[in-house]
Amino acid sequence: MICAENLTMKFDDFSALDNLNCKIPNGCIYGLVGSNGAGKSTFLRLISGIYRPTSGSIRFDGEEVYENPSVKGKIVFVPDELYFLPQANLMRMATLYKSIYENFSFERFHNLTKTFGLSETANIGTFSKGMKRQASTILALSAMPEYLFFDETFDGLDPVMRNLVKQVIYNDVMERNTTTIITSHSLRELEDTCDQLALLHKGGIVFESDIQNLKTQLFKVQVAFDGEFDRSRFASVEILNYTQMGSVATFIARGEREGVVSQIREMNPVLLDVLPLNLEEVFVYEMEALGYAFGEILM
Amino acid sequence: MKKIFSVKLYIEGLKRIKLAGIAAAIAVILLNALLPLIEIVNDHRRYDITGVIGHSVNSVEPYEFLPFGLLMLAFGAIFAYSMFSFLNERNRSDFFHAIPHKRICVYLSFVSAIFTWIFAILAVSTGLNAILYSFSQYHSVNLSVVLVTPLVMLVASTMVAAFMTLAMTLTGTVISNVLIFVLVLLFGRTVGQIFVTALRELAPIVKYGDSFLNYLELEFSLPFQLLTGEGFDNAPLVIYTAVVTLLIFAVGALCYMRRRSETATKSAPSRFLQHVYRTAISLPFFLFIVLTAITDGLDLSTQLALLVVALLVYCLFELMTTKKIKSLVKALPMMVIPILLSGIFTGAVYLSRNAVLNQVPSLDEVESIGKQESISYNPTYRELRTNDTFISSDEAKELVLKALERNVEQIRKYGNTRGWVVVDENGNMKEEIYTREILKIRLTNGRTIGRYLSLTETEYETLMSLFLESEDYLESYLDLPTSREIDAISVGGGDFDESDIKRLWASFVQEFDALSRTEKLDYVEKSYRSEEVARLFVGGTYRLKAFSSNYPISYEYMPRTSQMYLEMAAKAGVIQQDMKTLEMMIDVLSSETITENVENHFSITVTPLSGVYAGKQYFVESTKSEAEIPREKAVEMLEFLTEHGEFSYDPDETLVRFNIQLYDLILLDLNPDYNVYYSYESSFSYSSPSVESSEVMYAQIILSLEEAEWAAFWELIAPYCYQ
Repeated sequence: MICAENLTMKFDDFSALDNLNCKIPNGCIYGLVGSNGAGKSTFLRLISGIYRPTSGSIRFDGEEVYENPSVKGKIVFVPDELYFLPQANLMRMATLYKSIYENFSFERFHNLTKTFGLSETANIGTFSKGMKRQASTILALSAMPEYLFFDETFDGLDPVMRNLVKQVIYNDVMERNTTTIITSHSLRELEDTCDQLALLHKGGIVFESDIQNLKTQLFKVQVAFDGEFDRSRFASVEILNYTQMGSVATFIARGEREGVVSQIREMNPVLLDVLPLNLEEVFVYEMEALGYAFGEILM
Repeated sequence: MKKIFSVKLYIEGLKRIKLAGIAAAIAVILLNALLPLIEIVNDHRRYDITGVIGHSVNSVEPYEFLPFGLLMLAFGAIFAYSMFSFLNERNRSDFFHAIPHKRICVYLSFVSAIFTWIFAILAVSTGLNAILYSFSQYHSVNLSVVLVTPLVMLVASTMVAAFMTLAMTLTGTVISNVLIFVLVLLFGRTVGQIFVTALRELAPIVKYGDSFLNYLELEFSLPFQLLTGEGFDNAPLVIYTAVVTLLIFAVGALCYMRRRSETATKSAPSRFLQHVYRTAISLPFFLFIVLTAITDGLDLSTQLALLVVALLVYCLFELMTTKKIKSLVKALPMMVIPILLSGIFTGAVYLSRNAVLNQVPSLDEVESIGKQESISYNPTYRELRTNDTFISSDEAKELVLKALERNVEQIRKYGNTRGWVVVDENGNMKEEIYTREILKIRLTNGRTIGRYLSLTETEYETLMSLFLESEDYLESYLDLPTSREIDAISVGGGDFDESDIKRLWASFVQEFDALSRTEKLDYVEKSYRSEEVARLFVGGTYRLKAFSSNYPISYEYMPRTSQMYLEMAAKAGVIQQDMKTLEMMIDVLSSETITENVENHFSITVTPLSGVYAGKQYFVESTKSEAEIPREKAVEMLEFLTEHGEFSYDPDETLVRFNIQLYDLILLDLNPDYNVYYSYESSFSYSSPSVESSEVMYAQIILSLEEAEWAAFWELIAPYCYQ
């Protein structure tokens, strides 16, 4: 488990992370979403051991990561700005990675290179942005890490490649229980990839939840009754957002769906529709409940 | 070892700077190899003026052995920059900070790779040059040169690499890398040099002799000395440089371990350090104002101009490194710091001056007195020995202390006096200063202070005689180097077997040791003896310091050695070659192809080496003789020498040395008062710009002449002789 406690990172007078706390269980795919400057990259650099926190701690199964080769040896970080040796090809980079990461597997490297259709001998400088990201991903996965961190890596990948990368990551998680953290500023990108999601805003995690839970626990209900009614009629239901136009009320409910639906059915509504929410809508309503204007955060 | 060094990272490090390494290898190894190759090609033409192949073997000096090895000073910095350039970009910096190795491991592995490249290039170049020189008949390379030269260059280049590495750990942009590299490399020495110069100006008695001040100077820097061809034999400097190198690498390691990856793209890791850098870079310029005020006096226009320069440097640094006007504006108030520091520096200089001038020990505090004979970089053996010898005579102590008091008083009274007079209490000249000497005063507390004192002739004569009364000093003064201390011996004038040279030296030592003290003193006092038969050149090391001495073989004092030399010279064919030169001169002088506007310039310097007239010199020179020397007379003189002189010396005969020169002059505007300097080559240096020379022939022979022969020759040259 990755455990961040009261994690703070300051650059001169600017506070990039402020008392951040989170626990990321092993084997999960953890999504971290936030606007530009929220602190996503800083967080990843901290847990990769690149930065030393101003205060607080980051531990991997109880061990600090900073200046700890035994922990860092299990981590591969793929940053937003990729680094390749000048004039190098994939093979040269693989040699570099092999010298750094003991578990680097050339067999896996060759398989992945073939899968992604990249040349091992071509100069990486001639690759497109997307191909470079693929190359980074190949190298990272070939290092056989226990922890894999991607910083906005899916940017620049076409849908086909994106799915391919996701599939490879899934395989790793399934087979080797790899813990993956992916940051992005797009919820849609993370929606069908991650197990858990967290929203980072102004250096802190404001919301964190299991995606399945998020999707099933929140839903939209549209209901109409003969006669007059108001919100108080639904006092037994946990409502995040309620609007009513005439005899039709629309609200966002949290709870076990079947239970809530049967409660409302007992009220003999004229109309009852239960609509699923997409992740963005879930976040919007959850954030509103917390007092944040979500649009301001992610726009 | 696993935790602080990684072989894989080390190999990666070697690959990282591969391009720079290959470029350095090509430049250094190939360029260095060109020199012996050129020498080998030129060897057959060396000394070929007379048509006789030259036979002198030159010993290759360290600065000649690997001259392009000095390029490694620059490449050392380039290697360090290339290796740690990842610290200048965020993505690269993050990558290397993310790898699963401790920072000290990354640092040491990469630094080892830098060192390996420097070492390998110098080693290959050394080996190649040593092999190539072995094919040269006229150049020899001493084993000590082969070992010491690359070692010294390695130390100096590694030091430069260390400073660049440190600069890389302290900065995050290319401009600041370079500026801070220059800063860390030169700051200490520059400030030290300014301090020393100012102090020596205010207290001239420490101008020479104070070894502590020498260590602060810019010249006490191995890269600096190597660039001037020196430093190869300065063991203390090499050791000091090695220690400093290790220290700087250690500081660099600490800085690297503490460095944050996010420093990449920033001129300094923190605002505070940016202030420090800016202050440090501009400080020497502010200090220079202080220095000029001390050395040249207060001159408002000069000091103002220098102040403007200093302020410009201060501002330019901030602009160049941060590229923000806003940063410059914020930095302006901090300008007061270097000004304040300059004030403190000035105070320190004056305090030091006072401390120096107040340091006049009493007689009881003085244990002994020493004299430093030379301040040159190429001391003789005698200078090194006597520099270490002290005398405890009370008279000497009193004399020196009195002189010190007088010198201090003069400085206090007249400021930075450069006068050459001793004045009395009324300011009237009492006695002229005869000399300035470096004297060492060893105190009873173990310290030794060196002072550069002006002495009157009386003081000097008295002091020297006191030194020579001391057995210890006399021994040092008169001793010859021991075989352990000697690295190389050579003899001027020819190509001799090493065993012969050793025999010659042994004979010389034996004869010298047999001389009386008075004779030895007489021999030593004269550095030039016109009646010398030849000269022995001895190089070696005394207590880690290199010396270079030469000893004339005087017939008067070393007759057996002189005879041995003549036999050696005959055996080596030296005399035969010179005889051949004489024959060629005869041919030239007799030639009908000489046109009217060409005048042969002919001269003979005759020096008897034995007998009553030993040491006297007689000159025959066509441009200076009162009577014109007809060509046939010149031919007659030369023929006399070729026909009558004997090579082997008979003690009943007169041994005479003849230096004969002949060269063609194409006269344009020859002024007979001009001196013309001759050389062995066909081109030569001259003080008369209107004279050219196309060919020079030179021969030196030592012949043994019977009395009648000597008289006959004298008769031949007398009408044309001048002394």
